[in-house]
Amino acid sequence: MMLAETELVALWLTIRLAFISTLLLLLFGAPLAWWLAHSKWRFKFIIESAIAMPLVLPPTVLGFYLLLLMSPDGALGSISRYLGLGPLAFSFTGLVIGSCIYSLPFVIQPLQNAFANIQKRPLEVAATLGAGKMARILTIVLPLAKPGIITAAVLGFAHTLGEFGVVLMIGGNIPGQTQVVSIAIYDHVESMQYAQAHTLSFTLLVMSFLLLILVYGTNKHFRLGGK
Amino acid sequence: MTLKVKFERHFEDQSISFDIALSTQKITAVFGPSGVGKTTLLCVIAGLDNPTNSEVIFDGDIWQSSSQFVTTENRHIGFVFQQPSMFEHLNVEQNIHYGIKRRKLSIQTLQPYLNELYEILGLTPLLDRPVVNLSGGEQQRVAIARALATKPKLLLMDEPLASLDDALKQMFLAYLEQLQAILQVPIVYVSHSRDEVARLSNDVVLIDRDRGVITGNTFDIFSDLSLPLASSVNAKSVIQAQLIQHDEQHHLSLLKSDIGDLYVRKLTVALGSSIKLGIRAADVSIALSELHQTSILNVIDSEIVDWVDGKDGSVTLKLKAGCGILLSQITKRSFDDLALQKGLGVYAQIKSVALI
Repeated sequence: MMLAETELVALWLTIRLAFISTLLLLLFGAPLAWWLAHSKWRFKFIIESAIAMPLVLPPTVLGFYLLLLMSPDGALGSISRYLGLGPLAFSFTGLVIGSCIYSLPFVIQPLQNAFANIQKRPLEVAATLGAGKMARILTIVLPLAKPGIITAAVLGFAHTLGEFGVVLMIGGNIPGQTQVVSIAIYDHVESMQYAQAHTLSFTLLVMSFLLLILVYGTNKHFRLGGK
Repeated sequence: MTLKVKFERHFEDQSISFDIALSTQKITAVFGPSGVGKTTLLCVIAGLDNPTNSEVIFDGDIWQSSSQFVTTENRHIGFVFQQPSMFEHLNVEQNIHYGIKRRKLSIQTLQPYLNELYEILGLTPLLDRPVVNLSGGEQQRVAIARALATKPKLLLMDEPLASLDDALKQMFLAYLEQLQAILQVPIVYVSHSRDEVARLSNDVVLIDRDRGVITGNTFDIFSDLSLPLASSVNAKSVIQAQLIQHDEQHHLSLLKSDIGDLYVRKLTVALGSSIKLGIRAADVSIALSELHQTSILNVIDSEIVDWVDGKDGSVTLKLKAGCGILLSQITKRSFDDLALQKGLGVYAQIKSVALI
């Protein structure tokens, strides 16, 4: 089984997409997850529900609304045009935005669980020992939340790898720009190229399995979808 | 050097206002029932709690007021909580080094001091162990070492010995006294154990729901008949004494104390050592004339200065003996039969004296 160049391009694009989306999600998701874990705001559940939406919504619905937002006259599209970034729909940037929203709950929830398990006391002790806010985050919070962070990263990554509906709606099928593996597989099957479809499918299958082994291996108490 | 703290603690039906000035050369014990705000007091001093209108001034520096707030990390304190609160991702030594690194102190310079801490707290064999594998008592010893490692300017301890066994408690108390003398670090120590308070403290902050906050010298607080410590059935006199002589033949030691000379079972401490004694008020009986044929070793010439009726038909007497105070608890009937009154000279017969 050898991967042809177009398949390698699709695979590389997918990995890049997953990597960038995961990185952005971790950076922006961590403060949000911290807030969700510790805020006592009574309407917090509304935010939590909104974040969980991609878990239950058909990707096509999500993709459809994203497409509207990203169209040149849509909210995101206008901002992008105003900033001179070019159109978002049918672009790699558009895919990154879509993936971030699509994979949001997969990153936020493990982070939120990890942060919620960190007690106030050790942080107070750290403060009495001279640790400022930043030092407390770097030396106490992040190390203690490490299993949760790894879980969040791997789930976010793996979930983006398998993305199909959203990409199809907002990215289409442009090789080298928006054609990810899952769409390439669909394409091959549509045109009866089962051998190529099989090669790509198997690659994705192995990658996903290895990533999940990493999650379960580093975090023995982890259960998908449960606390 | 003083530490001034001011804040108010509100309950459903009442509030206790704290307004205390502590001398910081000493060990101050905070004593009172649970829920009255002992821990809150420590948290306010540490800057972990900032109630409205609170004020903390340490050695002239305003740590907390309506217009100023120094964050916890910028008050060079040590805080030992009731629970060990370990940094679970670090091993024992890394936990202890944590504060040294944050305060950018030199581990090398502190090493002799740290070694001494490890030795006293029995941590030397545990240093490279992960903290999650330690027992609760072991973790608490690590927490104590961690708080002391940076040589803080003020040490706050919230019932730190609750999870230690008795032998270790005694050893640690002795060490804490020693350390306080060497480092001159003021200690504010929350406890609900009378013996710990009596043994350790120079001053006491007594918190009581009805009477509010009372501060005073430990000896005075323990012998003030208007306060719960002296009027309870477990009342105890706290007496400062010095070991001056051993009576090898009878296995006794002679102590010179504030209330006079006392004989106790032979002690193992060195001659000249300063010790604190606890004498239960119920172990002190009263005679109007000196009994010459008695098995009681310690009979002290004293004078009744005050007395208070107990709830259960007992009377607690406050006796002045030498330059100290001794409490005695007798029955109301004996009190009446002997026609005791203020100013009367009596012989206090002490049945047992304990080291605390």
